[in-house]
Amino acid sequence: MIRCCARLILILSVGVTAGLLSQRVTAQQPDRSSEAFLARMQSAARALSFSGTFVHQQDSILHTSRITQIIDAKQSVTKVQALEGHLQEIIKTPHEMRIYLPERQVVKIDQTSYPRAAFPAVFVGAPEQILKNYEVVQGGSMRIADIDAVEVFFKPRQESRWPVRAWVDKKTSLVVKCQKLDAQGAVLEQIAFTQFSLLSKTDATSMGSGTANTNSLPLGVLTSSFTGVKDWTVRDASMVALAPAPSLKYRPETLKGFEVVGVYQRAAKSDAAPFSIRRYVLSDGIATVSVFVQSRSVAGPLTERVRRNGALTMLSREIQEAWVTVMGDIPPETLRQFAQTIEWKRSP
Amino acid sequence: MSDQQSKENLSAWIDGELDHARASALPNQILESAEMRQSWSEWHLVGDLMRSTGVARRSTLTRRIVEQIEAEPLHHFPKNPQPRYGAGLWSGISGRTRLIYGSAVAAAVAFVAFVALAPQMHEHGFVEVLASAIPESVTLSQRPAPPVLLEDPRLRELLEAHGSMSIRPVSAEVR
Repeated sequence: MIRCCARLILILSVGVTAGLLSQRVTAQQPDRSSEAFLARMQSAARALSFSGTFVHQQDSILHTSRITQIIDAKQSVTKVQALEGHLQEIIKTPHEMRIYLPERQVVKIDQTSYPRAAFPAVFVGAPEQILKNYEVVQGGSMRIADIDAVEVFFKPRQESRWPVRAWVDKKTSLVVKCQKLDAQGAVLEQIAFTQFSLLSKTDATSMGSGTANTNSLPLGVLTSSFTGVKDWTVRDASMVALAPAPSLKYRPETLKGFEVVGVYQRAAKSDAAPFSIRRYVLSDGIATVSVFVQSRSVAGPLTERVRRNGALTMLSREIQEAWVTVMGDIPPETLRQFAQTIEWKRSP
Repeated sequence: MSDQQSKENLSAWIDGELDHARASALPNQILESAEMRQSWSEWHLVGDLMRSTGVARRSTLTRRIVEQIEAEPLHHFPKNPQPRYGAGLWSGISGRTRLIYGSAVAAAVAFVAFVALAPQMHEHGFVEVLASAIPESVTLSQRPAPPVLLEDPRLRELLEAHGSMSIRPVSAEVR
């Protein structure tokens, strides 16, 4: 009897140990299915041609815009038109972003080589970086803009960032709705399609060549609608990428999981300062934080108190004859703590 | 007054667009009608979802309810009231008692509003929320599009550069 019990205990203990070991091996393996899912979301935003109307909400402010994206072998163009308030149009290509402000006859051209997030992809980082910082949980189904979508929750692994909830088209893996939430789950900022349609290859090709004339799609969709406006003032908003990237001194524990992904600079107009503006970009794969350094010769700080607008927070500090402005899609307290630890020394 | 008309008045009142005569009757209608109270709660819930930081408008509404209850003239009530089935909540209550009840209701409304707003008031202590920087007197339909801070062109420039790598697809310029 005793021998029988001992044998049973031995079998059980071996079984439990084997189970624990296999569980540990599983936990150490990267989540391949989530990685593949995120990669599909990213490539959908970069590969699909579509048009639609979306609403962007920041706290109580709502804006409706129309978006048309055409991607084929020859080109990749995204056009966003504001449908409310002042006239505004943005045309993005892989190497350039143009912002048309016809009422002021101003066009801003930004040719900085940022790793831009392809709207509505939501994130800029690689899937493995996102999974390092967020737990990805798939939820239930919901119809968004007549699209059958599945909910995906990005739960931060650290408290120092906003949770993100996205709804992804089951067929194409394109994000059709995205929310940034606070720790209590309240929506701070969101973007949602209210109307969406995929463009066929034929539609995209004919629109790209400016010959489309269907009922739903206007002519010349890839060019600005404001061709009648004369005497545009062109403003260059470009910065130059610095390589090797100069380091930024701060305490990394205040911004866990974030890495510097690029440093950009605009030359100074005079010899008095080494540059007019420098931008450090940090990202955890989804959220981005920008640290702007400007000469103190520009009048005053931009915002000496932490301000929040939707999911975006901002704060300015004076450090060593420079204004350092930090903007980020992170909670106010995290931004404040991070900004306090930044060290800046003017180059000799 | 039809239920539909009452609800339209309530909606206009919440937006601050109802004339004084009709507005003065609304606090009683809300207190007397379960359906009106339900509509009032639902519309404010929708408002809360639309703006998690819309402190200004909610506090205005609360103040209006308190003011309406306090300002209502006592001589409208009969000296020897006869209780009637189906009459208003205030019918059959003496002026002094009514004043006490009125103050109690006002205090309750103020308390509920305080509990609901307390976390956001705390946030205001150290964070300035741009969307609520709009004056209380401005109604929803009159609200200016650009938040105050975005009028600074230097900040717009930085917001635009930052926005190029975020979920914001639209420029911060002239919003």
